[in-house]
Amino acid sequence: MIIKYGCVSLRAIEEKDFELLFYLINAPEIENATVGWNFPVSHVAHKQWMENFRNSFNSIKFMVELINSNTIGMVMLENIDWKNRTAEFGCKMSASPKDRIKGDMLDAIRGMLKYAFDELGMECVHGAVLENNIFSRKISKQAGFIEEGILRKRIYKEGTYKNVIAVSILKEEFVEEKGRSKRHC
Amino acid sequence: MQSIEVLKKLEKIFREVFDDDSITINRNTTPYDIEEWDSFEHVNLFMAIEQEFGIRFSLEETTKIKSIGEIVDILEKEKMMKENLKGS
Repeated sequence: MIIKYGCVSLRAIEEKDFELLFYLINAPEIENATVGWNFPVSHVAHKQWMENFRNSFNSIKFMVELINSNTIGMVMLENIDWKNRTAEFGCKMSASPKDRIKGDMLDAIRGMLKYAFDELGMECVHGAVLENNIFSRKISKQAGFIEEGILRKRIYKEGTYKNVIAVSILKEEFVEEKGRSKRHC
Repeated sequence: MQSIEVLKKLEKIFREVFDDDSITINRNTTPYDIEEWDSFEHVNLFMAIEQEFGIRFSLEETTKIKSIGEIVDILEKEKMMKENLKGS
């Protein structure tokens, strides 16, 4: 099922997403702003990954497509724990302002949370943001995530150990922003 | 160009980008102080600043700058470099 929320659709990864995903996995400015890391990924390796990728019981990845048909990034639920009903949220985005719609990523996050709570039956969605990534911290708060605490010097990037903020949102805390689609899209 | 003059120009840009004439800024202003200052508007801000001041920020600068003071410092450094080039 394609998930629609506000001005975004969350859809499966398609062949046409190759270049965007290749950029997202290799771009230094994205890796430096997020907690994850990768060795450089070649075109061949990326092609193989795309051919073999399937959403699974413990990992779901959706592309974020806007109502203007532009695809701006990806949202994920990883480490899905079906017994304890928890999942780890992640997202990556890259697009120029002219291709975007204000509030698009917030819609994408909320859309994924609604899917996690209302369709998958999750009780808690958690995540991690770098302490110095102001925009990630702001948008996670806007989406309803609560900052649970600081994981000290947990991630090593650009020559320094960085603090990580652990965030989470419970099903009962998730509030949809009613009428958003009318205001922004 | 003095800091105060740069700040005034930046404040005008912020008011235009956020369409809010009540915005006031100083060197310590960060995205936490302006609710609408998100990653989307951050790019719009830097495009407007580049146009106003006739400079180009590197991708690294735009992603790492997190306060008005850091923007002012870069703009003043750029101004000094241009003046030194003229003088040489």
